[in-house]
Amino acid sequence: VGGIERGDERVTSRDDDFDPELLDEPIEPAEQLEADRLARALDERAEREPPRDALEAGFLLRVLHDGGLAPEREKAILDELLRVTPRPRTPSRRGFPWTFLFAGLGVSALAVVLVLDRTLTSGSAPPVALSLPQPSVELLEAQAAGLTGQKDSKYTAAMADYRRDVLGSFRRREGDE
Amino acid sequence: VNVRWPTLCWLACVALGACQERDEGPAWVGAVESAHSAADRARSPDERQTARRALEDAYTEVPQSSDPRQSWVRQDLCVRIGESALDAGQALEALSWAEKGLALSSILNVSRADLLGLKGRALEALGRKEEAASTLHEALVANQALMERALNGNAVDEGQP
Repeated sequence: VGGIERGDERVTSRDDDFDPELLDEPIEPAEQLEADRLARALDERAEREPPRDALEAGFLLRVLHDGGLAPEREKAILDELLRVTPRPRTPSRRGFPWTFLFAGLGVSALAVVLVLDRTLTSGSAPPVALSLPQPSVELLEAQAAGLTGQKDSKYTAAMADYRRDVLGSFRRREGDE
Repeated sequence: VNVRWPTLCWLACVALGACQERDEGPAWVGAVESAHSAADRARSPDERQTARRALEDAYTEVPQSSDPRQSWVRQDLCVRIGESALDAGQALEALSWAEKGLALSSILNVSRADLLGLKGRALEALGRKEEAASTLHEALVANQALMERALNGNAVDEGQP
């Protein structure tokens, strides 16, 4: 009725043909070696930890399924990533910044020239008046006398002085005249 | 580097040139002074004619601006040119210069009073007696206003006509 074939024997049914007497039969060395290999392989698989990437993938799948990370957790992860991620290096300027150096020197030299000029001339230079100087009473008296007729020398002299004052106001220094 | 040094030298020269220009004043000031000096020295008709041309040239060199001093300088030149024309018997031309000067500014100053006097005398020479009398009276009123301001110590060019 069925059974394990050994040599010329054949197995017809695995459950029905189980023979307890076979357990008492001595195990052949080849069979023992095969059994040891199988047991060792099973033990190693049980003891071995799951791969890290598989755990991370599983974690992400679970998080996505739960609706995402909490904001605090997201921020913490982002901060950590930013901290450990190497920053790209900015390209360093090559050579000495001559352009800025010369520009600064030029501006400084110009400022020194202007400041020195102003300092040296401030003692003799009155502020430039943008209004007309006050005419003297003598000029106006001479003008009144000559309005209806020929102007006299008194008016000419007074007017020359007044004209000199007005034209001199266009100069920075009065002593240059 | 070879290009920057000439640039710096050029900037320094510009700065020094600006300082020098400020010391000597605008170029037209010298032309105005020379023209007035020539008019003061002129005695003969030829000298007066030459001096008048110098005054007219100086008038064109004075820039037109809102500076009351420059307006006064141009009005002053108008007075001298008009008086030269009137002395030469050219009353119409004298009247023209007087009106040109009065149109430059309505601010009351010494030259405005002179221009009114010149206009009155030119009108008188042209036989327009009533206009001449009115204009000369206006000149005297302007002179009196200037005198009051001078005695009171007020400025004459605060934009008040």
